[in-house]
Amino acid sequence: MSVSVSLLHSQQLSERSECCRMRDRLTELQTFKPAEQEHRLQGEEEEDEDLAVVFEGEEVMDSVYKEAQALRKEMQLLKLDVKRLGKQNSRFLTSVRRISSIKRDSNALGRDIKSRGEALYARLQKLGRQSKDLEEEHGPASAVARMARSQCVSLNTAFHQAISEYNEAEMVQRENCKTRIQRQAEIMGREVSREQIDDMMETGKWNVFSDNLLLEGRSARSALNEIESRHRELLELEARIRDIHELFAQMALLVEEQGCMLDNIQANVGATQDYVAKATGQIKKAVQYQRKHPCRMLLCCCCPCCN
Amino acid sequence: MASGSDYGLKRIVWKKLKDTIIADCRNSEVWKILILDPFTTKLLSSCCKMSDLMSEKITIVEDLFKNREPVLEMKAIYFMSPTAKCVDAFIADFKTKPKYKAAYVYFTDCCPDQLFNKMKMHCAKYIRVCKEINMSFMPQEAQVFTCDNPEAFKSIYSPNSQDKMKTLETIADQLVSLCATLDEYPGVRYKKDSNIENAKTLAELVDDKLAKHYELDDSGKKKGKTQAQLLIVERGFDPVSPILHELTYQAMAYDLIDIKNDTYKYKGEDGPEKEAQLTEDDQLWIQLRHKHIAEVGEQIPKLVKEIAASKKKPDGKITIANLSQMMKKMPAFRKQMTEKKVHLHLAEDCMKHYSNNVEKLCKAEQDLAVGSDVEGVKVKDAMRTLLPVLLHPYNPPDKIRAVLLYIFSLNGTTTENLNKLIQHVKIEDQQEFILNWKSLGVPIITSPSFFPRKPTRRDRSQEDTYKLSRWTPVIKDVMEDAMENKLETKEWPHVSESPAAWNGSGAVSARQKHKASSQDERRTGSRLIVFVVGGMSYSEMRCAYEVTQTVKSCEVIIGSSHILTPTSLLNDIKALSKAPMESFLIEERSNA
Repeated sequence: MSVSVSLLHSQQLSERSECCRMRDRLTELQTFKPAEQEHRLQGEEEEDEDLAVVFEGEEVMDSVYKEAQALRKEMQLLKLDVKRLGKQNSRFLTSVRRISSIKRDSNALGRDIKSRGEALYARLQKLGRQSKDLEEEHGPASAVARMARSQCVSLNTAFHQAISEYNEAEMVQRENCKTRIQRQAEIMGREVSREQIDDMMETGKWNVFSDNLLLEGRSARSALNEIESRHRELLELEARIRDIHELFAQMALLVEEQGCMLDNIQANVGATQDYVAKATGQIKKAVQYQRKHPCRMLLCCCCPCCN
Repeated sequence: MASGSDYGLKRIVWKKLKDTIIADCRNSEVWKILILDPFTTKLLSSCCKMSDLMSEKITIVEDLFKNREPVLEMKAIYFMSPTAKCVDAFIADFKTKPKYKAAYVYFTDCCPDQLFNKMKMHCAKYIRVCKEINMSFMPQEAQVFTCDNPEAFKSIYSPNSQDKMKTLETIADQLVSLCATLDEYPGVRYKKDSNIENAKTLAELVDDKLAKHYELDDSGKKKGKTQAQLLIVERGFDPVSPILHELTYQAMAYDLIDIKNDTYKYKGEDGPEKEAQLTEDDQLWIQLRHKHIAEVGEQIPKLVKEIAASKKKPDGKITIANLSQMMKKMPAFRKQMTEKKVHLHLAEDCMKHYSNNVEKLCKAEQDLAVGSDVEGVKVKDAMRTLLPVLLHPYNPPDKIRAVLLYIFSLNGTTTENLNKLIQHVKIEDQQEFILNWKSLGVPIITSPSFFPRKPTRRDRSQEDTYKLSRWTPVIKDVMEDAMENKLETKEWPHVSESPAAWNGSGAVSARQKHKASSQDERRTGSRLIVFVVGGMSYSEMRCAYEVTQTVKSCEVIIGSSHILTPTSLLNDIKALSKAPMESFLIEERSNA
């Protein structure tokens, strides 16, 4: 039954690699020096000529990759900022002191994130336009165009994710603030529901709390202070969200238009097309052949060589 | 990260691929092209996304068999099956003029010498890496794998088949690659059957290949058997489960609705036809797929409410309330909303089909399958239960399924009875739907005095079940018995010695503290791998998850050559008696 299999295994026992019981067969390949030496000599000339023909987009791709790397790095920095903001926000909730300085940092971070985000967005758009240009120049099925497009898609998705994380962080903070307000209100002996807080945010009427101040005393007063500072924080938070909202919405739309199938490997492979060598390549070859023609090089004047 | 669920086969496969293929290439800062054949495309697609590859410096993915544009600046990673077609395509890339700067070659399985030497002769100088990764199975779900080989059914069970041994060898190789990927060396057991021997043959093949695979590593140590068991059964051992009308979401959907390639097509309210992928990327699908349709139905009003809420249009000014509305419009939410809409449609679709046909049918089916009615009263005259089904104008496939259940419940019937039934259902020219079951070892025609012992089932009278879902697939009994070490050696012989007292409860190593069941912990526990020769049904896949849920310390993984639906199984059964076509078949996959 499995005689052949066992022979194979016993022969290559020495080549076993330990990791995951995989077999590394590279050494077997390298012991063989075939008669391809001849082929090499023959083929080398043609190779040189063809090198000029094939893959014209090399320099372009280099710049695309450099830009993609740079953008990825920028996004990492953006994500770090978002994390820092998250930490700031939680610090604001837990410590009562120096609220003003912590607040300042949050706003500064928010502004930083916004400006970084907008710069990134502009560069992403530029890359997107470059990718479209490449598509028009080389055709959508060409390697260059596909490489550029896949870089764009993945960068857009990554950026959208980074901005979503920011949005998430601010949403969490929002809920925490509201919870704090509720708790402080309870200390004051007042029960407020979430909807009431939302209403108060909208209408700006916070006097509900301050009305009974005269009656309650010190604890109530500090609770009221808390509530007022949370309220201010919420307002600033809403302002930050509003600021970045447009960017967020644009990214979101872009990613949605991309669709999720672009991320699917099977869809990608299925969409590739058979490569058809371009006519321009053939013409270039012909020109080079002509240039290298021995008769021409000897400045021969016989009719067939003259052009 | 890559796949929807955070544990399971897909994650393991992706990790292994990262540790091998991608780790090798990580050293060079250059971007690379990945070239795949149809099998590896499907494999990779099931466990990761383009963005995962992009973050590992793979820029585009190409099809091995298409004519590709030469990109001399880049190195190419070839991940393919070791078949003649693949190797030829690879050689063509480098034979006359190289298309790429260099090649990193990875095979899913052992490459036969002849092909390897061919490669060596033509393009050895371009190959920087050449490894054989043991991974030739398809991870379907977190606890389900397949061999991606629906043709295996005909190859193994058709009386005209010429390549049964070859198919069994291929499957054995795939099972060994599964065990290698999971880093397990299981004890192999099979279900003994007096009529057919496929399980025994496959079990012996697998055990043999496993032994050779784990024979010796570089340091000369032999890997001992791990705490895992591999049970091999044949389709014929439980013919009821794959043809019964199931009422759990996934099984029901695939039975009643035409879902191909896990893609569900439906018409949205706005008109155009939409497609949805029913995979583990959809969190809602993971939650709902094993639930009874009644429970899914209960979720629907909640879904409708959430969808309606998300549709409210915000008015002009930007207030807090509006902002939250606008946030709700964001794609993250929209994706969730789309998922919910998909399931809304799917669940409604199921219920529509159900109330049209299946409802009345189910009661009779359950009675015949379980052998007793809802109250627990044994069915004395199966024909009486079957008759109303035959008289009602159900469509022929449903009637055939009912007739089959009748026959299975009696362990075969007389020829004249069978002929009467066939006449009644009007399938005289399609008798193969029923008769060919004998090729699976399931008795169809037996003499009245023949009373083979029916397997005793576990007592589930204490379990809470829906009236029309009383049947439990036999495989669940097997899994639970295996966990409790109750499988009798006479019925389930070991091929070679198993590790002492394999106890599914994983009470072996003192290192393992009994933590609360976090999904990750299960991977460090013991594993039970079940393989069904000839195809598995969705209800059986569900059992793997159910049993893992109850016995938290052991993970059950189920697999087969492919996944069946009742319709596909009946068609395959009918095709068993067809003579092989006299046509030239291009074989996509050959074996080592």
